[in-house]
Amino acid sequence: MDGYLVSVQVDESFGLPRSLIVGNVSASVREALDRCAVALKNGGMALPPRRLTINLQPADIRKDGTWFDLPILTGMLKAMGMAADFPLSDYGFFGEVGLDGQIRHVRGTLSLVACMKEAGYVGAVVPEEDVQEALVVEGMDIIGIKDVGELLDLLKSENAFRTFPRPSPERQEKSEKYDYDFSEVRGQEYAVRAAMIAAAGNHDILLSGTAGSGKTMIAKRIPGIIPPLSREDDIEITKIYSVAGMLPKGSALYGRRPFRAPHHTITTAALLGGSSQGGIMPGELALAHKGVLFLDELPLFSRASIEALRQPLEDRKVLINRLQGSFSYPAECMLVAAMNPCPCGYYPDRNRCKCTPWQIRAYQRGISRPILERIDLCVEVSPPEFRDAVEARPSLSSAKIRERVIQARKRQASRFEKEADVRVNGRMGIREIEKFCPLSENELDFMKKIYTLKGLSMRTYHKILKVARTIADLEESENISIRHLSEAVSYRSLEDRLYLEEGADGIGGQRNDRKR
Amino acid sequence: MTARDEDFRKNVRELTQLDREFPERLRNIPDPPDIIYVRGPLPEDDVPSAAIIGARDASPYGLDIARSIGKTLAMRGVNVISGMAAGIDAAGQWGAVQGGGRTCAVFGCGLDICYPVSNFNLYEEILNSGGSIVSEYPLGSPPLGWHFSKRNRIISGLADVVLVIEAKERSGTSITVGNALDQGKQVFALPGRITDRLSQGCNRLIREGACILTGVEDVLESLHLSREVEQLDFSRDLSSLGEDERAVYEILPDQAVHVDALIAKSLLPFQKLSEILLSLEILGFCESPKSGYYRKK
Repeated sequence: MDGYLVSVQVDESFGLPRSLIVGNVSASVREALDRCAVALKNGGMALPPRRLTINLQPADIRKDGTWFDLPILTGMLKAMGMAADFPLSDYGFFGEVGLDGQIRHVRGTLSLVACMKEAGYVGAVVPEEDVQEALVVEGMDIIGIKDVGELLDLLKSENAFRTFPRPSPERQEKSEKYDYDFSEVRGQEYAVRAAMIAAAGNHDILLSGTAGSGKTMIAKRIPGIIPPLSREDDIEITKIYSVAGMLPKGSALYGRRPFRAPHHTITTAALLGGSSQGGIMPGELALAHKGVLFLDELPLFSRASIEALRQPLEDRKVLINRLQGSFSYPAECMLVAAMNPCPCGYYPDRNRCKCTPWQIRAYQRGISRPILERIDLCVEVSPPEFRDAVEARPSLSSAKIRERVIQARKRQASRFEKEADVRVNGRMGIREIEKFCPLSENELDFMKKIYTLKGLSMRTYHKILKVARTIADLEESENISIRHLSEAVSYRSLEDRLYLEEGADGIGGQRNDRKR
Repeated sequence: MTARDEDFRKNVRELTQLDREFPERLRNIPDPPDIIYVRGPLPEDDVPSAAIIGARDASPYGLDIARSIGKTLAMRGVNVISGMAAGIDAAGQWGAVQGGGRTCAVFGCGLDICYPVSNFNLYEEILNSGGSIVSEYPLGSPPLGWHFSKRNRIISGLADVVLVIEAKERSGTSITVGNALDQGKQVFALPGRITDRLSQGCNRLIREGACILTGVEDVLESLHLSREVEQLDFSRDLSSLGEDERAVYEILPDQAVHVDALIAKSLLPFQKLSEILLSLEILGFCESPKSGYYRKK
């Protein structure tokens, strides 16, 4: 996701009046030459009949995109003596040039300016549209230009360059804005509570329930209860969106936690990212960085694309290998999945559901087990009929929930201070669980009972401890008590059920009861 | 043929009407089978037996009822007969197995074929718990549609009473009921709401004169067994429960409901409710058939 520097060399020599561009460039870069020449002509200047050779260094990397128009144009002006001769070597340039001389918006401004700063540049000349985004990088002297005329003004003399008006950063709104609030959810206390726990410990969560029960409604509100973004995180998100060309024009930072809900027909490449014109595009997974990746209808996603999520979710970054090289994007998101109980979505209401048991089983088996194993909370959302029938109480507002989540995260931060890469309960491995979730005699006894009563697996047992830790954090309790464990047990994973159930008719589970 | 098949074959008996072991009940029905293949001990002629039959895609309520009736009957020593189909059949037979009783499954295919495959656990449990499997088709016969409608006469034939738990207006169950009536067996039907598709068959049977099934006592009575059902299910000793636990137990319904309904009813926050529910579960007063749903046990 980070840029690399390309230096543009322009040479003017005697010979046939033709221009040449070299340096392993693609067609869109080759076109830059024509755009620049026409833009100059339309600006009232003609190229002298000389031979121009332009080289983009390093010449061994394939270059694509329209970033190079502005530096090429600048180089041409310099080489032909149309601009004053003063050193510009500590300023970077990028932007697309139109035939009318307009300097246009390009993708990835933030990454490019950050990369320039790292390389020791003091400033950058960028398209005016991208100024706010470029200004996010602190300590860079940013100049925004609108068209070729302004470029000429800028390059008239060293003094003109110094005194050219500099833009000032727009004031950023302090608080993140989300379109949805939990106070709009009614009668879903169980699921809302689970969402709060998931946000507090950054646990992945699976919502299951009949069609129209409000799974999507809850998922959409989760970004609003995760603690506010730090500036670094916001910059990271903005970089990704900028590279993808999805940042709203003229905006500085993305400014909120993203919510991505890809459709279940998505291809693996679109989910993880892949090559397209102009380089490697970030996929949905990277776009959900620091936010929520919502997989609705989890069983319907193609197995290949779900399996492909495993490694990135584990490593918290996506690595894309292509012929052109390896590309890496950060991908640290909360996974929220949803599923219906059957293909039509109404099971077990046999008056509306006409799916055969076989279909239901096939549907539930469609979930990839490795992904299910990552999910700490499995929640059955209550059916809508019930909520119409009772006086449903509205749930807590997002702001209130978020306050509690922030408190819980603070406790986690101080607990994990000395840990290398664990910051939240959801990321605890077995080693950390043993260290940070000690149980006293009473609680151990209790868990032993549960272990046999529910026929838990060791993995589920660990998940329960992790979730209980988060619940204790929410209640501001140092120790995990039986109450915390009981609640965590109620969110126990469906995984054991789903896979043991012999037939979707819910009978087979009883085999275990008998054996116990 | 593998060693396993060989072993299986050895344990299957072929009985004709000339055999003493051939069930007396089957001799007396119209169109008795010429030969039956049996594995495991057949239901004894002098022990009462009941068939539990119904829809394959049954409702959770129907499955619950089938299971609990199967269990209670088995505990009272009644042989439970069914077809080991998905849904009601399997639920009734699981109940019988859980009640520690013997159950007999009548197949529409060869005994070496478990149909449907999803009932494989049940298939093994039936044999392990001393039950039997019966078929009039030789080993290796495939499960063909017409086999099933024919085998239904054996199900009703082996039973003294036939219990229909859930059935749609037109279904295979009505064939069994027709057979049962031809054989002079008593038929019970579980009433349901008139709007439920799965109850339409049962309600029609009741209208046409079938006995109404209002509880397992009805069945016990018609089998000349004492009506006393083990008191366990009805009045339980609540003295071991705390105040909160008792209050929650009181509002727990017999049919599983979502925990949101319990929150609304008890006005307790979920943190507290989950603790109470789980302790009820540990004490055996409550169960959770699937995540987020609870019912009395």
